[in-house]
Amino acid sequence: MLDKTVVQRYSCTTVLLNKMSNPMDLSDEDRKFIAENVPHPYNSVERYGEFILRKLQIHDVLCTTTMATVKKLLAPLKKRYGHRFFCDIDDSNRQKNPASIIDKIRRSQAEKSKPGEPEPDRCDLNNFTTKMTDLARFRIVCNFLSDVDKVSKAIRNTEELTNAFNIKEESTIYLRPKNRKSGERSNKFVFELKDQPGLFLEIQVMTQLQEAWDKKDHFLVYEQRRKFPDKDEEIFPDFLDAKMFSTAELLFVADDYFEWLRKKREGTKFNEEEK
Amino acid sequence: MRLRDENQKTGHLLIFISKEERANNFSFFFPVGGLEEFDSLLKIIEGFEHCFQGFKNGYEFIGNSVADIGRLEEILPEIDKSRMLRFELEEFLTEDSQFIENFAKIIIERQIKKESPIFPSIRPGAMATGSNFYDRNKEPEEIWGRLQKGKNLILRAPRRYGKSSLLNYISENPLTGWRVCHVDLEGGKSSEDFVEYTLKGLIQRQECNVCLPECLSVLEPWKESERNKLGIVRNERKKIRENWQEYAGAMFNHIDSLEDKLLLIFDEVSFLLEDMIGPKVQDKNKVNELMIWFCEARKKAKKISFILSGSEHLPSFLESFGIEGHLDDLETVHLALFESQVAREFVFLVLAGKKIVIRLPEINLMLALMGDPIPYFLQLFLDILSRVCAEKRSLSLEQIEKAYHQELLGPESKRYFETIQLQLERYSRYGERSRAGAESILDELAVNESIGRKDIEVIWQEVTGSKERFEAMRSILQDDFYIKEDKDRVFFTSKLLKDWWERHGLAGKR
Repeated sequence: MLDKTVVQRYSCTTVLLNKMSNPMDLSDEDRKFIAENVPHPYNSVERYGEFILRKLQIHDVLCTTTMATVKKLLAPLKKRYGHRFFCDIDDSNRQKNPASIIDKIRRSQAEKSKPGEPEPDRCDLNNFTTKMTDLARFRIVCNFLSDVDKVSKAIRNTEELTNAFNIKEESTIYLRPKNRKSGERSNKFVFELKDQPGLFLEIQVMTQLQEAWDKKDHFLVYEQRRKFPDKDEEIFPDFLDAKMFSTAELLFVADDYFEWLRKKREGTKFNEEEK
Repeated sequence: MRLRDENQKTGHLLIFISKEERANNFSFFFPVGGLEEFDSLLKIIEGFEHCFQGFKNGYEFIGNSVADIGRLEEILPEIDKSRMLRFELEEFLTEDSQFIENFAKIIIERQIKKESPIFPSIRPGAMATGSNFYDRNKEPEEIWGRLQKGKNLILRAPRRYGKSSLLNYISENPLTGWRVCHVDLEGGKSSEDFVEYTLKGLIQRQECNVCLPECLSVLEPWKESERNKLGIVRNERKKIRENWQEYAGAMFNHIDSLEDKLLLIFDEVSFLLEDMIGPKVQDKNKVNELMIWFCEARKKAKKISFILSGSEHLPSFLESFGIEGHLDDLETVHLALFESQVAREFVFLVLAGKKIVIRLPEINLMLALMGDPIPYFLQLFLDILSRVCAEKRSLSLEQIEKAYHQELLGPESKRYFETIQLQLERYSRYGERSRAGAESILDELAVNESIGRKDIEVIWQEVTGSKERFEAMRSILQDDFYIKEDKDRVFFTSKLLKDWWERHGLAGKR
């Protein structure tokens, strides 16, 4: 059990910095992993976060400077659609939670190689900063589905970004059901700084409804599943996971309908441009 | 130099959090324009983290990316916004992108000390008080240390070096068990004035009420209006005029009988003595009489300590009139000028407070234009630059130089140099041609890098017709015009005053 004062002190840091995760988020395996693998004096639940966050400083710098560049590229679009909400940057989850990072490293370490296949490219405490692609990230939350397209197009076509980064893009918005693992829908861009290979940043572009769903799913399903993998039957006896998945589909229908309404409202001028 | 861009909202926040009390936090926000600033931002964070090592015991440090600083409260509600300062990256980077550690350290220190206001203000000529009392931390400590050991002191420095501000700081921050009375002797012209001004000083402060003669302390004059205070002093004037030594002796004896110690600070002693010295021999005798009496009084006093503040060359000035200063019992404290690094930090802080971004080459140019960074003139230059920069939004190196020549040395700034005229007028008391002699020396110094010591003596002799008073004038010029002698060469240390004299002094008035 954690000492109460430790939890209080830790909570202060958590609240103030909005960065560290609550030690209660850690599974027993994670705690054991921290005690055995994180170097002294950071090998405790109250201090491992410092060890992790210190290594993410450069990611945070990349996040700040990329956000500033993205803001510049969004400015003309926001001006163009100034008569309504177009999009906004959400930086509330810029850094991957240290607890998630530990969890991911631990799983990677435990991953068994499959017969006949090469050894998996495992993460450890030394190389995770160059292996994980979502350590630094931010979202661009758009109003309509077509706004997501416009923002994504702007990202693809901005020289300042394409010159600085190798960009990989993955879209889960228009994915066929057979290819879909979860209800998440977004255009995900993984940026790797050309000058510093291994330094990644992730930008997710999505609608407000998609983000709303994701925030709820993260709390209701994702975190539960991370702590207790392969135990869906036990942790979701009420089929909460299935309900959340279905809700994502419903919201996609809503987004699609809103898009149709927008086209009617904004009239031919904007629709012609989109063509 | 240019006005800071206050519109940029995306940037990086460097946060310092007290380990003891987490609500005690301060931060620096650096707006960022885009990916092109990646290396600069990284350098800044590494630099601040390095500086932070010195404060590690009390604070935690963390960087935080911020999409919109206007919405900071939503992301980091516990950040103390009143202690968040905005800077630009280039304010802490040299031209070749090296981190300027001194600037970072000074601003962290001022934040930790909770200096208020955090940035020194521009107040040319005014007493530097509070956080405007800049970089004189060691001096008060040193002075109190010596006073505690029972020493009496003489604080010596040329004009406008900040003697009065230092003495004011000491009088406002006494050690436990001490009362302090700050006596400004400027305007005094006699021994009687010396006593009267001391009385004036004592009635100003509540804590010094007990030091007054009983007939006055019952009146509690510190409570009274300035007019009434003046009336009380006027009533005592007759007694002082009758026998100033007896009056002062009784006052000092009374103070000696009190429990707490009294520190008597006599500011502008040089002015009093200069004004007392006239062409008549008996005036010199009066100065001698005062100095002998005062020396005896210092030796006799057990509960009173003294600080005399005067020009750098007070002893040699007195000597040139054949006056024995009787100052040997006093330990000398020299108030040095800002070191150039301190002057750079001061410029950075003052302009940062005005929301102006200044780079090192611009600061270096300012200091090169001025010569010695005499606080008063440095403040004048900063005042002008911040005003011009606010008008034009940015100033190039050429424009800074232009502001120096056209604004600082220009006709509009003439009032700031009025004291030079007053100083020159004072010189007439040393002889009919003394002023002309001093002006001729300054003329020569203004148009030459330096001149030989013997040569200025010749100039003096030619203009005044004799060698008399040359030594006195030499001492006065060193204090008033920052003239220095080195290896028998004499020169201006303040390039600003040299330039000013070249432009305004060489007007053929002689």
